[in-house]
Amino acid sequence: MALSNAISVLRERISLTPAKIPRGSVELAGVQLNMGGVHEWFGSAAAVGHPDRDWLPPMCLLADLARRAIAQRAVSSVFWIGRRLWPYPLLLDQHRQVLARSVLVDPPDNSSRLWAIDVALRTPGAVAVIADAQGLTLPHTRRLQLAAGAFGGLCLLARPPGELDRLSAASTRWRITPAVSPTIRPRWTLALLRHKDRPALTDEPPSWTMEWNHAQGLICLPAPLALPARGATAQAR
Amino acid sequence: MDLAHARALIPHAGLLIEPYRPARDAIALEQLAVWAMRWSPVVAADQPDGMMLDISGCGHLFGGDKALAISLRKRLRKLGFTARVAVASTPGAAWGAARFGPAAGIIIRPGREREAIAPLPVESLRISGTVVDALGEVGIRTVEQLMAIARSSLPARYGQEILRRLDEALGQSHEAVLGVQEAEAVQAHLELPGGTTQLEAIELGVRHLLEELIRMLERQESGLRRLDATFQRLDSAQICIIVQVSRPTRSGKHLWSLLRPRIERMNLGYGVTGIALCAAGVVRIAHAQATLLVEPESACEHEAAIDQTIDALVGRLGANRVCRLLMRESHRPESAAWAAPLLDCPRAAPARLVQTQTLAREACQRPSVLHTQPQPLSVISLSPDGPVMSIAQAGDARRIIASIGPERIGGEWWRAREPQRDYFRVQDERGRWLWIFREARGLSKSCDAAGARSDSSEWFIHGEWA
Repeated sequence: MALSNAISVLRERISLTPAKIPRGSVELAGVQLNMGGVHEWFGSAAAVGHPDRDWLPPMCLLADLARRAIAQRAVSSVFWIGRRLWPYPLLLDQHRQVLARSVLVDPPDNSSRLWAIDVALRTPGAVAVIADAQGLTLPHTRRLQLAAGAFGGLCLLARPPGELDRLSAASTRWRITPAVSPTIRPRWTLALLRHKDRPALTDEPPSWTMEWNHAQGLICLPAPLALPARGATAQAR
Repeated sequence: MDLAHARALIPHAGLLIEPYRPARDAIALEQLAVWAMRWSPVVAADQPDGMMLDISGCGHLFGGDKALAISLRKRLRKLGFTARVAVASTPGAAWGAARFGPAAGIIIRPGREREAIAPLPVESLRISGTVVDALGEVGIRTVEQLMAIARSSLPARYGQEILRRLDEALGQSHEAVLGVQEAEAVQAHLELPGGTTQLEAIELGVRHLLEELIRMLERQESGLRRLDATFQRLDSAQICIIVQVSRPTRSGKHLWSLLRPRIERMNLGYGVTGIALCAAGVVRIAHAQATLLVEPESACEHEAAIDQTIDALVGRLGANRVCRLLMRESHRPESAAWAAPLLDCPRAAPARLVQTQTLAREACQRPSVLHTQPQPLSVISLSPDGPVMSIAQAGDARRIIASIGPERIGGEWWRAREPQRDYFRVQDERGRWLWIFREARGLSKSCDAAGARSDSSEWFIHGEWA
C-alpha cells in the first residue's frame, strides 16, 4: 500500500497528462468532420408510418463514419444510443471490428438519453458516439459539444427532418435525402447546411450525391462513368 | 441419443434443448463439489462428470459410510442428478466401481479392492483409450485378466501408466484427493445502534465497509463481479442494492461511483440500523505491473474507462438496456441477429459471428433498417411473378422504378408452418430503396381495369436502405 501511495504521489508531481488530447478528423465528401465535435444529421421520413414520429436516421452513412472513426484508434468503442439508432448487424458484417466494439444503449426517456450521450462522450476510449437526438435543445447540444471537445470523441447526432429549424451548437449540420439511382446502389443527396469553420453558407447549400457500396459496406461518391455529365449525355444522343 | 432422435421421441413443446457448453458444465461441477463439502471437507471435481470425496473420518457423522452414500445420492437426486456412488479406500477403486460396478452402488471394504475391481473392465483403471484398445487386441478385457499377466512385462508393451493406475486402485501407490477450496466469503458488516437517517453517516459507513472489502479482495488477489449492499431499516425492512460490473474489479473508487447514486435514491424510512456488503462472483484477476509513468492514452486506460462507462450505464438504465450485437445462423432476417445484455457476454470475448460465405453474400443485400414487425402494403404487378409496378401503404401510392428479385427465404424446418418469403429490393419514384416480401402462401386473383393483377394482402415491407 505504501509503495502504491508513493507511486501516486510521484505521478501527481510529474503530471504527465498532456495539455491537449490528440485529435483527428474523418473526411466525408471532402469535408473534414473534426473529432471532438458534434455533427448533426437530419434523416428522412420513413416509408411507412407517421412522417413526424417515424423517421429514419441515415444508418448507412453513420455506420460508415463509425468504421472510419474506429480505424483511428487501436482500442476504442462506438456507442449507439437510442434504439432507433441500433444498426442492423448484417449492415456491419463487412466491418466486424465495428460490430465487436459496438455498445448499444436504449435509454427509456429523453433525460436518460441525454445523460447517456454525455457519459459516453466523456469516456476516453469512446471514439464515436452515435445517438438519437430527437428533441434536444440548444443548451443540450452545447453541453454535448463541450463533452466531445474535452475528450476528443466524434459525436454524431441523428435528428428527425422536422427539427431542421431548431437551434443547435453542432459544428456541422447535414440533411440527407434519398436520390433516384440509375444503378442498383442506393443513393442519397447530402446537403451541408452549416459548417462552423466555413463562412456562412448561401441559400443553396453545397450538396453531394453519395451511394452505398453493398459489396464493401462503404459510402462513396458514385463512379463518374455511372453518372455522366448532362452535356456529355446530350452529345452522345 | 442424438438431438434428432430425441425430437422424434418427444413432442416439440415438451423438449427443452440447451446447447452443449463444456466450460459451463465444468464450472457447474466445481460448484457442485463446493456444495458437496457438507459431507466431507475434501471434495474434488473429477472432470468432466464425477466428484471425489475424501470421507476419511466423516462416515460416523452420518451413521456410517453406507448412510453417507445414501444421503449423498438422495440429495443429488433432489437436485435433478442421477448419481452412481461407490465407497472404497482408494480413489482409483472408487472411481472404477462407481462407473463400472453395480448401479445400486457398492462399498468396498479396506483390503478387498483386488477382488472388487477384478471383474471390472480395464477402462475402470482410468487408462487411456489407446492402451484399452491395445489390451483388447490381445483379448484382455477385464482387470482380472490384466492382473494375471506378469507386472514386469506390462510397461514395455503398454507404458508406465497402466502399472501406476493399477497400483493406485489397489492402494499400493498413494493418490491424494485435491479438493476444491471454498472461497472465503468476502463480506463486511456494520451495526448502527439506534439507527440513523443521516445520509452522510450511511455513506461514511458504506465507504468504510467498501475499503474493508477491497482489502479482503487484495489479500485474495481477486476482484468481484457483483456487489450486494444490504441495509437493515428500523422497521425491519431490508433494502438490497445490487451493483454489477462488466469485468472483475476491486477498484473502490469505481464501486463507490456505482453505489453512491443508488444510496442517494434509497428510502431510509425511520432509520438504518445495519449495513452489510457482500462480494459475489469473486474471481482472481490478473496481476498488473505497477508503472511509474502512465501513458494517458494507453490501451489499458481506455479499456478500463470503457468498462466503467458501461457499468455506469447499466447501473442507471438496467442490464437489459446496455447490449451488444450477436448473430445467429439463420436466414430469417429477424432471427439472424439479436441484442444480448452486455453483462451476460463480456466484451473481452469475441462477438459470435457467423463466418459462412452465404451470410457474407446475404449481408450485401440486406437493408440498413429492419422493421421490428413487417408492415403490410398493397402491391400492383403485371403478373403474379412479374416485376412490381407500384406499392401503396396507408393510401400513399408510389410508382416503382427498379425492382430486383425475388430472393426466396424459406421457413426454418423446426418451426411449424413458417411460410416461404420472396424478397424484392425495389426503388420507388422518390429514390427510396425498400425491402419488400411476399409470403408464398398464395397470390391474389383480382384484376383491375387495366388488366394488372392486384395483390393486397400478402405483401409486406420489411426494411429500408436509409
